[in-house]
Amino acid sequence: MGRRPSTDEGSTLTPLMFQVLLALSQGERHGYAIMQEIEERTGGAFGIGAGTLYRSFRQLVNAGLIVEGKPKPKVHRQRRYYRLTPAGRRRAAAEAQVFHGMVAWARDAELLDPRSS
Amino acid sequence: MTRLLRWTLRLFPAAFRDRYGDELVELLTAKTREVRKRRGWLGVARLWVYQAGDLVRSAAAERRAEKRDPIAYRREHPTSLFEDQPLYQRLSWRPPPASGSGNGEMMNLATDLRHAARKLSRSRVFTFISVLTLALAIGANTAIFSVVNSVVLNPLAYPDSDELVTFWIDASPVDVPELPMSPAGYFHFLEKNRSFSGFGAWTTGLLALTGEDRPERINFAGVTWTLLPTLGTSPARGRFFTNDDDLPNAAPVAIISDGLWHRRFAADPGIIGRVLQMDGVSREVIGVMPPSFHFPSAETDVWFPLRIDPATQQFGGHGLPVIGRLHEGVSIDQAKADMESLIARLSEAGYGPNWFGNVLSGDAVVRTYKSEIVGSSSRALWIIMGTVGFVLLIACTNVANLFLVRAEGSQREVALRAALGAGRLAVIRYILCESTAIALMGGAVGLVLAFGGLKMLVAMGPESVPRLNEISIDATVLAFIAGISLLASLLFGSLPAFKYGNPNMVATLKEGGRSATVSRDRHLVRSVLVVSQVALALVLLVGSGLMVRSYWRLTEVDPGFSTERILTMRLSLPVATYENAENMANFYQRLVDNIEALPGVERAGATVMIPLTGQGAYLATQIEEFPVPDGGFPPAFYVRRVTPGYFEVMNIPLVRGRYFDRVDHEQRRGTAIISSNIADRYWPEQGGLGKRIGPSAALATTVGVVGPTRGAGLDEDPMETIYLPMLDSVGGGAPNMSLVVKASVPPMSLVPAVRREISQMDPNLPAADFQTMDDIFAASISRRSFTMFLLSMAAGVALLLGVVGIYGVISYTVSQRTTELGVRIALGAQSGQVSRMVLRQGFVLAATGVGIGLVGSVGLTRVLGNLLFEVGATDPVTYSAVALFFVLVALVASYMPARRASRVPAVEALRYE
Repeated sequence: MGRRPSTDEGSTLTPLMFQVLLALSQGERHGYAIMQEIEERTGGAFGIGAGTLYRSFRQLVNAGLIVEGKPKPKVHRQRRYYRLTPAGRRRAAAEAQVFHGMVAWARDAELLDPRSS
Repeated sequence: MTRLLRWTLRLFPAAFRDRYGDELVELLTAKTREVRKRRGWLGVARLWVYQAGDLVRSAAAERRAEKRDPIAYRREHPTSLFEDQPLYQRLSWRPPPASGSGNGEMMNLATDLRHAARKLSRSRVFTFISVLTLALAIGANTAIFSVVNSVVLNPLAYPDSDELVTFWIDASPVDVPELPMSPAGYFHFLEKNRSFSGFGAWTTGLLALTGEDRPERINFAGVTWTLLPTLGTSPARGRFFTNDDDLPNAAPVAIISDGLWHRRFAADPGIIGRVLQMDGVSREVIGVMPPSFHFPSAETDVWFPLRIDPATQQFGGHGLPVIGRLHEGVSIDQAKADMESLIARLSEAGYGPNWFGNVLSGDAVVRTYKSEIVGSSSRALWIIMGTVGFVLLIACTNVANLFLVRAEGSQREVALRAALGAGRLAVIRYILCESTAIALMGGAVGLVLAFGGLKMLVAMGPESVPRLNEISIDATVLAFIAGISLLASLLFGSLPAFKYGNPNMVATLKEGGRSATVSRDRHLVRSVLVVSQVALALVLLVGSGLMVRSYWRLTEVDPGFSTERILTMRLSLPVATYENAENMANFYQRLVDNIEALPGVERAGATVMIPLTGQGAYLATQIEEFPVPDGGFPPAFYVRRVTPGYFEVMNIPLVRGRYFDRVDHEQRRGTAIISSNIADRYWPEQGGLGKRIGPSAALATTVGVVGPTRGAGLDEDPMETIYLPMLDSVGGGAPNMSLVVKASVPPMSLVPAVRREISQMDPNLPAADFQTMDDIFAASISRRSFTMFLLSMAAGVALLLGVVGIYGVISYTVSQRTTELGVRIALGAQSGQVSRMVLRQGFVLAATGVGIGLVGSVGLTRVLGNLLFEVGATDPVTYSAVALFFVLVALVASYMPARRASRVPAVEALRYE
């Protein structure tokens, strides 16, 4: 198959990436914990594929939004911990701002029950 | 389970696997444990289905990321794509200025065209292939069309040429469907007809032009004085013949062609009034025709009056074709009725009652002069035209296929345009603009190809195709090429235009243009295209296959004589100097003797008619033992006068008796040799020797029986021929004869020596048409081989395009199905099974196309009709051979992608999702 457009991959934050950043905003987490957290916070509205999750980790690391810590052998030798970088934090805030604006807009458009927020 | 998972991880690039593999396994194990506790095994199953899909998808995405920039991927350099910018600022597209606010439709069209041109210049390979494919097809169509246009469609080069008709008398009772006029009959029709404003008769022949220069043999036409005014072209210099010029005892005059005037007289302005020696007759030149005037052929250089005596009572010798110019408003049918009424009154011209019913059916044949000239050629030309039309169709389906692939690639672009407010029509127009640009480029290149092809066609075109010298590319042809280019663009552009003109843009944009959910539909369209391509190509292959088989059959025919190492030439002795038959016969005998004495000559002979160059005399003949009953008609045989050496030179086998010897004509013994088919017909038991037979009242005695020859054409039955010596009791000694020389050296190398020999005997005698017998043989089948060549070329191109079509579709579907194939291999499918599966797909496409094509062939090859020789239009051998061949070729074409499919390792395959 042919090449995909450059806008397709990597140039946008996927919802999952955003959620990863949010999950890490409260501190270091390992993959499984991140997954659990997202599932809890979103009420299971998103299915999270393990492959996609680690793929997102790789991209976020490469983009300098998160960093990986060393595995902590005492706790669990295979679990690698991830942490938000300052850039990641700024980026998460910026994205959140955008979403906040959009939610406000949705409320103005009476798509959202004001009490529910 | 962990092992299965580990194995699945091999789908990911190694770098990714090394870094996250362990964690991934750990995470999924933990997740599985958790889900099992909370939701049981059913939950686990659901989880795994979901996770498996996700793994495959993300693995493929990682593979792509790696492929895009392998080094950066491995080094894990941060990419520049993630900057501290919110999502929406990073979308790179800007909405274009709103359409509709510009200068209206034309503005949009110009924009579209510009855009199309820009886009095409970016995808060079696609453009190159499409333009080349179309150029080939359009070029072929244009070349053939300009032939059809010049030969069949354009009017003849005479003023108001559609009024010119030929007229023949139907003599089907004696197997002569078109009888020319006799001298007496000519005057009868000339004086009494009410249909024609002009009416003239003509004959042709060869004469020797002698005088200051080297003698030249020239084609002439003897015409009645009315003929040239009937044709309507006035002389460029001088005047037409008058009635006085045409009287039996008038002074001999001639009109010459522009070509002869330039060639031999250097366009001498004082040519009018000069006296030329033609066959020993002094003729005064009274006119020069313009360069565009050709009658009856382009080779005719001299016209002179026939000088038929109006008081003639000559009824036999029907040798005068006539041309008439219809009165204004008179239709061909009316002229036919008029002439039939005159045929019924032929007795007024002195025709006896035995002509009616026995010879003449009473019908007249009147047809336009053009159809007379173009005749059977137009059929072959239209067939070839139809053939290249097929090629164009095939080329269009090929390009349509390319367009479909491309349109799929640019679906997102189209969807985006639609999303930005482009209406359905605008999108269709945009796609059509692209196809038009391609088609016009194809047309332009095709025109160049047509120029070259046409030169080649005319160069190799056989003389039997009339009006070849008139072929050119004119305004009609240019209009044609523009027309078919636009038609082609509609043909191959409309399919993608309507298929993608109304994209489900939401789905497309969401899908990112990479899922294959609509591919089944796409494959169907492409498959239909390929099947029709194969079907069309098969029809052409069958057609050319039939022609090739006819040609083979024809070359295998035994002509009854040998063609090897034989030099031929033609001579005509001027009656004015040679006077009588005896002088002529003696001249030829001496010439043959002298030539036989030349080194390199094995044997020489003379004949009135070389086989395969014409029919020659076909005369009513009496056979003593089989008298013709009253009211009946005698049999007719071909009559040839020959010298003794003729049979040996031509290697015509002696069946019984003996060949002629010199004594036969020196003593005028009245002997004859007959071909064995006459002997078999009349004396199957006795062998046919010692019989009394002959075309004149004085019968000759048969002394030999020789093998039959196919002198009139290889596709004709062997001729029933009577050979007579050059002299016998009633005469003989024809002025026009041909020499045949059997050489022991390359035949053409003898030409100078033979020429010298002739000019030593008579310096005023031109010898013409030096040809080898092999050349004559090749020329006699040239029309058929010409048609065959063109058909085979067209079929070859069609085959090529068809195979490319199959290959394209199969390899495209294979690339689309790589994931599926990879999974199949991963799940244990043998590579043989996979390639068989792909091959089967190719086979089904080819077999369907072949099936449809075979049915179409049965219907369409019938038009080949008499172009075929001893091969039926539904010849099973050709059909099955072509079908088998096509399927094999199709399998080879699908084998390559099949091999590729079966060799792709499972992991590699999954790269492509």
